[in-house]
Amino acid sequence: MLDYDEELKKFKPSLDVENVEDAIKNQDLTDIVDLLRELERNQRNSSKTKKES
Amino acid sequence: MIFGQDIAERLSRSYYNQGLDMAQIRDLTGAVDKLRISLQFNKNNIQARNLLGLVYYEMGEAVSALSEWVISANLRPAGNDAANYIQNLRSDPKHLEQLNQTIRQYNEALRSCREGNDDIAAVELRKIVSRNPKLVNAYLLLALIEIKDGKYSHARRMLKRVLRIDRLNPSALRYLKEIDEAAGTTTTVDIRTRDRRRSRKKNEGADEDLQQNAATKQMAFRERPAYLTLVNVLFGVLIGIAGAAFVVGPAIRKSYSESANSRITEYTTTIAAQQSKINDLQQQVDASTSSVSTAKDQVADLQSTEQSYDNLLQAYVDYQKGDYESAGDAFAKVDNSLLSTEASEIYDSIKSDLQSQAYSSYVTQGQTAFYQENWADAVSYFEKALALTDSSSDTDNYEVMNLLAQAYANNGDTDKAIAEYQAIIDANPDTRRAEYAEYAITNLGGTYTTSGSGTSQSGTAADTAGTADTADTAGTANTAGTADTAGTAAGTAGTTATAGTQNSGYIDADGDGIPDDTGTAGTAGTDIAGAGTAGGYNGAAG
Repeated sequence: MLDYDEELKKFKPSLDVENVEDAIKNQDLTDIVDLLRELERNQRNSSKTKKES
Repeated sequence: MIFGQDIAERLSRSYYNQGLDMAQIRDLTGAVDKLRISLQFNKNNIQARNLLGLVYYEMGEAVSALSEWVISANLRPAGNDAANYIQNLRSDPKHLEQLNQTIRQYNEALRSCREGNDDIAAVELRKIVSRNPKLVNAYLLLALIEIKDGKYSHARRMLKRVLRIDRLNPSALRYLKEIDEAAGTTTTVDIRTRDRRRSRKKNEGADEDLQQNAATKQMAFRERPAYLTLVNVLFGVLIGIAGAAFVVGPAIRKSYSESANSRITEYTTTIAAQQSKINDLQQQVDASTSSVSTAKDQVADLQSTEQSYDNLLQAYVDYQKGDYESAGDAFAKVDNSLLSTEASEIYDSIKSDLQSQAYSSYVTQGQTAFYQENWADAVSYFEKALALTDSSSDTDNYEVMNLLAQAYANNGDTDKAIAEYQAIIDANPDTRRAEYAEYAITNLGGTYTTSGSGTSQSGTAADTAGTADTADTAGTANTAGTADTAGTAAGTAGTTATAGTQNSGYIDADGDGIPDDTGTAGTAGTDIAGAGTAGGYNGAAG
């Protein structure tokens, strides 16, 4: 049996023109490559810190 | 790092391909999921982002589509189809504004639902789907409201429309299942894909494939309620009847046609036989009519023959009695051609004597009637007398003919008088008798014909008065001008002049029928001049 309220929660407002600029600016464009690069950078920083210490 | 980047791009392309396959079979929700994953592996996968925008646009989310294409165009400004998509949308600002309006209304309707105003939301959503018929979320939300209100039929219709756009939309399928369970019906979803060829182009031209293949793939949903079975049975029965009519009909028509032809032939033969009988009977009738006519003719001939015999006997009896007049009457009615040889001999034996006797009697009786001015009897006797003679003896009958002509004129029968005078002219051409007859015809106002010259003359009023005698053909008779003068004076006397003719018009002492050229005739000339009708002629006699 459908739960109307639960189903209603699944509906999200659609993007309209007034909000498109903000949506574009705020859209998270991070991909796996960005994450990998970030991980690599963090690893390099941590290893450099260890050598200095 | 390069190795990890390469793996990410390869995974991105793999998910893009899966998303493209799903988009081509209109599994738009599945395509959105795969394309989002693709972009998470590689945000620079321009084809995946452009395709994601197309899928959003196909689901009625025009602004979301525009957002993806704007990002795509920023990530790769050159050689990017996203610029074309954006340009297409901006080229029709009214349409874009209408789509955006429906999206705003949808957001308002969603807020109304969350605030418990389902009725208002349902009314608004119905308007939205009529203006933006691809907005999948609006159909789904409207279907959810109608399911809640127990309007399963309407909800099912909305969900079918969703599945026409996004055929494997999980929410729509789930709602349909709920409706079937609640309503106790079965909604069959038939998916007919005409073209299952799947293009596996991985990057270039992926969005064109979506558009092309999307148009060739269709979905159909059929409900099969119980009454459809009855309809199918009736349809089958109708087809059976039609088939039977198609097969049996020609044979029946042929049978009818043969029967009709046979009857027509029979009737035609009967009519021909009847016509033949009619013709035979008509011939018999004609023959009978002819026989009757012949019989009538024979009877008439026999009657005529009998009459001729009777007349002959009567003539003979009257002849023996000395009653020549009656004998002549009876004899004139005898047709000699109808008599037998013996009867003809009797006819011939009494003919000449009887004719002579009867002729004399008729002439005597006629002259008596004439001098008594009994013109009708005179005419009758003279006609009978002349009937006993033949035309060849007209010369000898001049006196009778002349008296008959005068009797006609005096009896008022001018035409017969003229005809009789003409007969005198014909029988006595170029004689004084003819000249007199010509003059008499002229005086009667008639026309005569002379056999010698072939010319004709007509009388005039002036001639009657005797003043134009110089114009007459008998010009020689006008030499006695004084007599003309007398004639002129007598011309005014009119009827008195007619009385003058009683004196025979001339003196014929020797009885040759020609006026005498003697001096004593002058007295008679005076009398005739008094008649005025023969003034010139009388002058000559004088």
